[in-house]
Amino acid sequence: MRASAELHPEDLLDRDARGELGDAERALLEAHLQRCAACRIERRARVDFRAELEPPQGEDERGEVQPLLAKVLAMHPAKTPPAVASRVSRGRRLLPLLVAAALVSAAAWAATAVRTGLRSASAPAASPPTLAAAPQPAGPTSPVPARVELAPPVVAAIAPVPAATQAPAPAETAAGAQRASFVTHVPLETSAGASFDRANSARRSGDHRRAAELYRALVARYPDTAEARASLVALGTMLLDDGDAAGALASFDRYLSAGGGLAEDAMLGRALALRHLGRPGDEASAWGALVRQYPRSVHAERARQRLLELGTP
Amino acid sequence: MADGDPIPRLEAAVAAEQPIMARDAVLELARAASSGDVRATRQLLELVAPRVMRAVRAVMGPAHPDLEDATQLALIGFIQALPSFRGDCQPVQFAARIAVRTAGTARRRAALRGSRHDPSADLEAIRAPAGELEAARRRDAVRRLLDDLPEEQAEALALRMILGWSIKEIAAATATPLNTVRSRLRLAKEGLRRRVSEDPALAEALDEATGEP
Repeated sequence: MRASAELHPEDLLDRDARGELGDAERALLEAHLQRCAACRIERRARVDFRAELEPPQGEDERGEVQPLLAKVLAMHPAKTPPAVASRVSRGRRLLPLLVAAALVSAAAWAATAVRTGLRSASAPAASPPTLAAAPQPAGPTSPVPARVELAPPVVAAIAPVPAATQAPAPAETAAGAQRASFVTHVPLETSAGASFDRANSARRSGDHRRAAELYRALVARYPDTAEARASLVALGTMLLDDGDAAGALASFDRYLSAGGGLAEDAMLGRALALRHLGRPGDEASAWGALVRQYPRSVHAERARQRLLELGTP
Repeated sequence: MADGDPIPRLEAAVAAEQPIMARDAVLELARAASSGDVRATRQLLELVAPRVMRAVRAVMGPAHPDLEDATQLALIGFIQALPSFRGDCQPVQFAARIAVRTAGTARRRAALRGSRHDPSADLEAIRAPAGELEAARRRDAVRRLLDDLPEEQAEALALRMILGWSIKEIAAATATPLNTVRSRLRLAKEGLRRRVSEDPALAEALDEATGEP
């Protein structure tokens, strides 16, 4: 019998690592190891990796841990009063968005860095911003004013927009003219990344009206950017928590029409929005889709439980 | 892990750093953190962060450019996953499992973004003391093997080979039946064996140059 078809003696390997094998068991294990490359590799790997997993000797690991915790806690929504359950819940669901915001900032930073030669061989090595880094401006060549006053939102509600209305330059269509009038209120050097940072800041500070305006303006002005995509989920989540389930659903639907890295969160938001709208059939379909697409999601158990409640296991 | 279960050898370092917590105390802490209690969240993070850092580093390689981001994502993932924590294992194991998944995903994404070559492997070899060069080379080869396995198999094999967990521990931390874990490991090892037999350079890196008898 080929080794690959055998049962691998993981228990013997465990006890061998602990020095607990008797002679007979050791002989059995060695006989298997002679035949099985995979188990030989496993035994060596467990020894090789052990050193990497042990606490560093003579080094104060706390010096590395504490800054890391500070960054993570800075992003954690538990800073909101725990007594306000809905706000905590909202914060927890927004965590991926905070991460996405930081990632988008990092991507924008990296792109700018490449454009401006920050990563050229002659320049000192530059580190990309970490996930918890403060919002980054567009870059050294495009300063962003500390505060930008915006006109009322030009997109009243996020709803699926035909691609044709997104493709032309702003001044080429009526919709473009509308956007152009908006553009006059925003400095030309403002980037999608900077807009996204401002919208996130407004949301974090609790100014949801302004955050919604900023997200919508961003989606209208930079429809093809990663920031616009993330804005749809951020906006949907915020609207949902503020009780605008219809608006939230439109935002999530628009995001999901193209898919992306936040699809799992958008699908959760969509299901919750449908629940708020009292559409049990559509809600069940939404939960079912979430479970099928992300069976190991942290939301999967919640989805299954809700499906049971809806009578659609 | 339920009270009374043995603490495996490779968890000894963790046990030395942090007392094994009673299941009720762990659940209470996780519940408090889930509901937004800042102190509980910090306490849990302080408990698991060192282990998460080491697990992410072990899976990704100590010089991987995305190491810091992945570590932060793993800790955030841990906080997010707390509502599903049932106390079937210690929080450090629950977090380490999330760290392994997050780190594996980060490695695969980095490989898709750029070249398949992982510069951290070279850096690790350069930094390693002379006596550890071979171990560093084998660790890198194991990481590359894991990159090519299906996600669930890679996770099971990483928990086994890198963290040194028993099947029972993997089952508890992943909320997966024992036989499913065994099955994933069997399939992963079959894939591993196939890769090694087809790739002499990889076999050499793993000290398996002579091939399987």
